[in-house]
Amino acid sequence: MGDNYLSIANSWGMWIAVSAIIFVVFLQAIRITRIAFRAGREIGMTGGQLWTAFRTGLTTAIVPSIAVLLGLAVMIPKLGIAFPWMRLSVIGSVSYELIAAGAAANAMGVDGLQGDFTGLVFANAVWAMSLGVVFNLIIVAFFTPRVKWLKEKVAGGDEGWMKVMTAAAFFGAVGYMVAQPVVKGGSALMALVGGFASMAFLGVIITVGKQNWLKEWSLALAIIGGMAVAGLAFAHFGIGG
Amino acid sequence: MKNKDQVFKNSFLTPVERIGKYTLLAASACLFAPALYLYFFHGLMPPFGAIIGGAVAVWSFMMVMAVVEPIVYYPILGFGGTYMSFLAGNVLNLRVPVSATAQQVVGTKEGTPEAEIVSTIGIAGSVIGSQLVMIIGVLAFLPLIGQIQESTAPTAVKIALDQVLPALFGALGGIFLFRVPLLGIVPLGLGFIIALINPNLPYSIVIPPTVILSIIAARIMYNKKWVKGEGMM
Repeated sequence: MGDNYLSIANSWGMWIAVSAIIFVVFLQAIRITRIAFRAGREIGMTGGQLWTAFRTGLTTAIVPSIAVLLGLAVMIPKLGIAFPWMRLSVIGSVSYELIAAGAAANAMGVDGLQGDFTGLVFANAVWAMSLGVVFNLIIVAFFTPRVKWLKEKVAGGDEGWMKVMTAAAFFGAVGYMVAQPVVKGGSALMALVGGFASMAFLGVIITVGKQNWLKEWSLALAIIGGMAVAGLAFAHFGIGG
Repeated sequence: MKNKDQVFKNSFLTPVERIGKYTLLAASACLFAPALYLYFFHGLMPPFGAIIGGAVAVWSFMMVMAVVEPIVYYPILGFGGTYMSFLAGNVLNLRVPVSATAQQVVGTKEGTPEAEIVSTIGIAGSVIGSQLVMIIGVLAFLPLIGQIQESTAPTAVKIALDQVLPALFGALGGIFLFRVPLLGIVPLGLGFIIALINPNLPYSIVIPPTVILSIIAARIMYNKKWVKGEGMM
């Protein structure tokens, strides 16, 4: 099953290649922090206030980031560890990355992430996951100072509609992908049902049990739940495989 | 007061805009380092049509997000925060709450230069915090790589690992059914009709039209006030 490409995906060169952008993330955060500290003092803020803001940000980020790590874990078997690390450290989210990887495999004539991955399929996933988000960066790079102008241009500034439109675009993209496993059946259908049931269960715990902290863990946990159902359905009932 | 706004513009807004723009452009270039590494060092270059096919499928929903998200979150993240948040990601689940918490803890008034500085520094702290957590986590995962790749794993485990994408779709279905069931009707219905006709079509052909039809249906529901923007993102 194309074992070879994972040794490339986890090779030293790959680690170096993914580190470049993470270096830029650090550089940007440190440079902007220094500018903000200096400007803050010039307009009369105290060092204590500024450090409090920094510390609050740093500590608030820890738990949600550990939840992101759980999402990283589910990507490792198919995509290695170096590239998912980069994609979840920069711009990405677990859902977007997995969908992009699946779309790239589909474009290579492979049955999503369930199909046999080869070096070329992996390379196409890397291209799709990178090309897919490049405009996000470019738009922010050029339009942040003109964001009010952009807002008027897009949907006449109607923020409610903009949110609905974004959700509708996402639904439109996944509608067919959700239907495929149902039609095809087997392990994929088991995983789909398992993921759905896990999320419904977590949703009940979060809303009825008022366990809000679970929210940021729920997606990764539901994915793992769905995968587990697919594995168990095969082991105990011989479904799929 | 006028003097303070002038100072704020000269020593904050102008330099942040310059750094923000250049780092994001540098990041856009670095984004392709892994793809180019695979090509130059391992000769792995997918056919041009496959690259475009994958990209078109992703762009058909990402482009909307790429434009809308900065507009919607800018008022919360602020100027400096926007540059950093869209590079580091996790905007909704991490950067937005961080900005609000930092402003609350320091006790600044919304819309003032002080609030902008505090939001910026808080988000910068959160970016550094999440990168450190990710690095530590990845180091902890490293010893496990060999085990995951062992082909001696039982078949049931291999099957489970292969099904990550359908599991994700099930989970997403759960989220959307709870939050916005109406919006899902048209795209899911279309998806099922197309899948029943042929479940093995290229996404680059299926996704762009279903995205457009889903947006049209959403527009009609929005105009009729069946759906609202609240709780959507």
